[in-house]
Amino acid sequence: MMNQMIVDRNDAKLSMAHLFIAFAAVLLGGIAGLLQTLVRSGTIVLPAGIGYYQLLTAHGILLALVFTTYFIIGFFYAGMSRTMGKFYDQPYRMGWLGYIVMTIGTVLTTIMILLNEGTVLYTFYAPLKASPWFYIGLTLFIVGTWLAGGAMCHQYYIWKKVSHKKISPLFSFMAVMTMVLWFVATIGVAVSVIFQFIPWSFGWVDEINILLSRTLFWYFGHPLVYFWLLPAYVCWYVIIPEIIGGKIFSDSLARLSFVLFLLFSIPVGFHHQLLESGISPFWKYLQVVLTFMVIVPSLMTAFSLFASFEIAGRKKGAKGLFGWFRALPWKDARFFAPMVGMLIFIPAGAGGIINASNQMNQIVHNTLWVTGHFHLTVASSVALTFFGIAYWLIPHLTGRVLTGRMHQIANLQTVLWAIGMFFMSGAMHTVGLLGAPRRTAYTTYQDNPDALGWIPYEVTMAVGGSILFIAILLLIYIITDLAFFAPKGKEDFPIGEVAEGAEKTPAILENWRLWLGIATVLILVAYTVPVVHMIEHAPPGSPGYKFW
Amino acid sequence: MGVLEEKKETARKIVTTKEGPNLKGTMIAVMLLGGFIVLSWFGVYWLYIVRL
Ligand code: HEM
Ligand SMILES: [Cu+2]
Repeated sequence: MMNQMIVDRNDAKLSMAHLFIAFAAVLLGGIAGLLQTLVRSGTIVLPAGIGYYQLLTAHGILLALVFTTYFIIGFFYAGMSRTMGKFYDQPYRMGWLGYIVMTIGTVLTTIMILLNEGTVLYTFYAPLKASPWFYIGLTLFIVGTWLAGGAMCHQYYIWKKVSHKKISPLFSFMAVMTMVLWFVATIGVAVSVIFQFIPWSFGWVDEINILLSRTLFWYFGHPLVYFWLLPAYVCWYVIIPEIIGGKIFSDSLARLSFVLFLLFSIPVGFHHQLLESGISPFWKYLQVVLTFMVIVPSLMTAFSLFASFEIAGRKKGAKGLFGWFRALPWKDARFFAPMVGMLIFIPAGAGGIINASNQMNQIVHNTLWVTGHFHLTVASSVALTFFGIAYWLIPHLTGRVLTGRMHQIANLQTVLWAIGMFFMSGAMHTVGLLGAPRRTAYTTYQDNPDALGWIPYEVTMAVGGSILFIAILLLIYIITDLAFFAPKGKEDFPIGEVAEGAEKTPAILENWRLWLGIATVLILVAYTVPVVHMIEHAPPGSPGYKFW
Repeated sequence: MGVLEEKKETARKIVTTKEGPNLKGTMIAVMLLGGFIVLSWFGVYWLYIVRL
């Protein structure tokens, strides 16, 4: 048997160290989220000089960066250890070093936000200027993730050398691909922070090239969303088939879709800058076309998942066109949470195609529609999948079991999340189409009738937000129980097997030089000319502003 | 297992591979998914047009 069935104890500790911080961030970020909905609807006024935008910055950073990244890295360490075996000494130590550096960065950034010195929202758009220590904290955070990615790539490299295998286990391949995507993507934001933001915030230079900084940010910002999504796909492709008693539909298809994400998720950042002046329409057009290429691996994923479900259901004797859908293990929390996440991904993905379409972007740009959109994608599809992973991963790592009662409580958590999100995200989408802006504290715009019409929707958001907050408390209860109190025992780490008769995986799918080469070419084609233009014909630089 | 039987075994496998599993439900499900995407896209496109 190639697979080790249990994650090594030391690797388990490394993984758990990440998961703890991830869920602490969910609790803190959730508190901020609840308060935001209450402020926006005019229900409360923040005490003690806390600012709305300060909360919003904390919320974005804690949930979109800290929760996601720590969870992803912890999950990958565990899964690589499970599928390739215990981490070798060197990558293992590098893993801990990465954890320490990331955590110093996280603490520093959090302190600056608490001191109200970093209220620039999680996208830190110039010309808003934070304390240099805010940016230094972010830099350390990113460097820590590089060490983590380095540890995984090193482990993978040694494994390949020692095992003489051309094809690595699917889980590990996907983990390494995700981290490679992360390396390539973070180069953009690192360049911008190190060469633009830090010198500018220290006052070494007076002005910043805003257009360039935003472009470098979105060079990173779009692949960032795939960095969140791909680990969820790992669960959907590799883990869910095992939980439902089925098989992985096709190993090659799964790998190919990950390759396509590497190729097409980076040279597309302009779809976030469709309304940015200073970028010519041709380059926006090109990047929108590349954006739409991502629909291909997304639909491949949808097909492959439905196929796994149908095959598993029919094997169990399900009849009729959709009998297999009912035959799925709906009561199993390890399945239910990610499955609800997948279903929510249907409207989420449809919304994404709308956002990326040039004309329609003008309808939704900077409205609450966008906030509604990513609360479906990252805050539901991805978050519910991560919760569903935690339900078996944490007991697996701590030597405990997910009891039948916990399955029920976890399913209640999922249902509450779905209901809360239905109200909150639904209201955000609708009021966004009516024109309500995102990132805006409570205001009636001097009793403008249009703006007054938004308030009922904002109240609905607060109702949804309150339900979501109860769901977060329930989640924290479950996680604490699984980590410290659940009965001792052995919980499986499910890893699916490939369906019999599926094609053999061609080695070319694991040819890193080839894929990285193509990715580089695409990036150069999409970005070189417009970026050179931004530097040569730079708009006037801007001093920094502090509006809070 | 003799060589002959082994050959038969592989032959049978190839046949089942060619037939493939029954994926009618999957087919319909992805078509519905595609339809939903197209419908929502045109929904917002219509908003764009009427607000021009
Ligand atoms: C209790 C659950 C949650 C509630 C009540 C909530 C509520 C909100 C609200 C009201 C906003 C901002 C509205 C505005 O633009 O003024 C917001 C923004 C945001 N939320 Fe959440 N949210 C929750 C969970 C999450 C989760 C789980 C994630 C990610 C994993 C997330 C990610 C974000 C991000 C990235 C922003 C944008 C921040 C910005 O515009 O700078 N939220 N959320
Ligand atoms: Cu994007």
